[in-house]
Amino acid sequence: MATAIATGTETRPAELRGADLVCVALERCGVDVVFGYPGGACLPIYDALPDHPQVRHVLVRHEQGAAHMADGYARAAGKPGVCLVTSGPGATNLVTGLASAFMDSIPIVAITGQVATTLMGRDAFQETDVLGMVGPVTKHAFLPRTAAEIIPAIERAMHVARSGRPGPVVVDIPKDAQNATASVPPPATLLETRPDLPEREIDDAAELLASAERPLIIAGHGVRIAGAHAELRELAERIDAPIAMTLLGIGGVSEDHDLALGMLGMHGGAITNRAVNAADVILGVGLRFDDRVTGKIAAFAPHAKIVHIDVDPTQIGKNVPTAVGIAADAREALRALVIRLPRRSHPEWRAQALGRSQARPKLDAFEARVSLAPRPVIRAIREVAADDAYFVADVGQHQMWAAQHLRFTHPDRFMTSGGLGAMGYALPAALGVQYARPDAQVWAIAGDGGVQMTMQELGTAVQERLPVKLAIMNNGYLGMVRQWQQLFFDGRISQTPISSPDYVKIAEAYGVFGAVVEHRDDLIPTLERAARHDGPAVIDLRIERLANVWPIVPPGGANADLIEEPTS
Amino acid sequence: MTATTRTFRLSVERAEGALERVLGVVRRRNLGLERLMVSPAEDGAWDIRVEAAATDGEAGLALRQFTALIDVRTARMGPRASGASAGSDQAEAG
Repeated sequence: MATAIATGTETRPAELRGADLVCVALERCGVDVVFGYPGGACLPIYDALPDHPQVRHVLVRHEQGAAHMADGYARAAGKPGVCLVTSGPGATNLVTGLASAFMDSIPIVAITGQVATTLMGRDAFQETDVLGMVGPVTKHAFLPRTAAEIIPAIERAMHVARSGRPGPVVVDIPKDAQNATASVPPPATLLETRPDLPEREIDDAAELLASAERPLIIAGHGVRIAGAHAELRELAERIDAPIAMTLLGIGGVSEDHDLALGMLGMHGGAITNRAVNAADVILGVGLRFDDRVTGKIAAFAPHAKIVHIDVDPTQIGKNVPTAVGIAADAREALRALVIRLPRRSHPEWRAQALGRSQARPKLDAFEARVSLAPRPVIRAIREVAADDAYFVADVGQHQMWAAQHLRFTHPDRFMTSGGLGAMGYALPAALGVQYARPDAQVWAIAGDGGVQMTMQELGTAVQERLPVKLAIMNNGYLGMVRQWQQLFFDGRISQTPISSPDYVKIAEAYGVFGAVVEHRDDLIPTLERAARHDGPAVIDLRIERLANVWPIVPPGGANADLIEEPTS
Repeated sequence: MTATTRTFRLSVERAEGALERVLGVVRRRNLGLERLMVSPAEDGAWDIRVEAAATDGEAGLALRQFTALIDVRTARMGPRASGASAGSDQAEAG
């Protein structure tokens, strides 16, 4: 017979079922929501959930949606997002979302049910080798084989997910462990051990930055993850260095700031890429210098010595040669640099780097000619949306238009699948953001390709009353791929035209607001109606079919070789 | 770039699945595994020596991925060991 034990304020039976231990672990870790989908191998956990009302459950429509929702939640809440699925197809469907979170350093704890230990390795119904499958796309994976191992595994998973460079962690729990009983262990004390700041490297970096005549900072996602916004701004102002941002670094500094340059790289601004090209010292903070940022590596920042700060020591020197590498938390490292650096002023460099962008007459003429061009659409969304609204972009042309033209002045309001580039991300991730920020306005911006991958999550939006606004940039193409076919494959269009359903009818079928915009005159009024609507809304924006993203650096080319606008 | 034999010397937590995770890096980086030696260390960890054929680039990326594993305390790389004793280390991470 079970007896009761008291742990702090909680009184529980001395022994609990493994499934209840899962819920206890989540409660202890402060988890308030789990995004999930039930199935045979996690049925005991779903049986236990109603007894633990502190942990709410959001029923998704596909497990990929669960992972993306946990991702969006984690980005907006600043703590790990949790998802829960069954074995076999439940787990395999998670993988894209886990890989996206892994590439973007997002803390997720994914709990997967597994077949009983007695069946493992026998090709049982809905059995997959989850640990073998998720290894390359997670920070770590646990397989607690007994009920007693469940709480320590989940507590450790939470710790691993959020410590150091954050990332996804999987806990794969066999069904017999869920059904067995074990006592509730005392809470684990897992302290994050941060390495000491490397003082010598900080000194070297300070010396290099102090001697720079054309300094430039590249802010990556690590600035946002570390909450180093103020330190970044302070350092930039102290050494008078313009700040370029990676796709995920957008929001690390207000784009209204005098020193903000905007995004660099393949679809970065011309002035930004030219400034990077001309800089003599570059301070990269919390980025991995991936190929979309650097272009042709041999030609990247040819005049610059690079100082690289990253919490993950394995990133330093991986993609670009560094003069000084600092493996440290971005906030701490920037703070240490601010203390060491004298105030500098570079008026000529500022004028050169932050100079006005060249006119783009062909692009302007194109926009004047067509009824609904993408740049004015994005600017209209910005105008209509709340000042502090969150924007979650899918992947493709609209993602780049959003990054280029939304102009973020509030921190951390832009989310997207940056590293993996997973189409279908926007809507489910936006639902996760909305769950974490119930009072905020949340916009999902997707293309007509990506939205058709996960639009069934409108059902989740309705069931959970999450009033996300879904703006579909509908051009009848898988636009970015079509753009590459047009520019780099001699215009041979292959399998990129894509049909769409009637999105207004889809919206109506789900019982949400739906509207279509075909002409610029209808744009603002329709977006305003969607924004005001007290619930989810779908806006089908019929943009010009052949609009392209400009500038563009040709694949394999140097950033300096960017094409700024249409050539004809 | 020619692949030559490298020796990776890892200190790894004695955790279930740790050895498999180390081998997962060998597999994912397509290294030509030639020899694997695992022995208990005095500090309760495992000393793991992986000898594998790799180019400079592959070896550098593999070293970073070994280092990124949660179970790995330290990871070093050196030229091929001669006999039973390890060769001199050229690089260290972790």
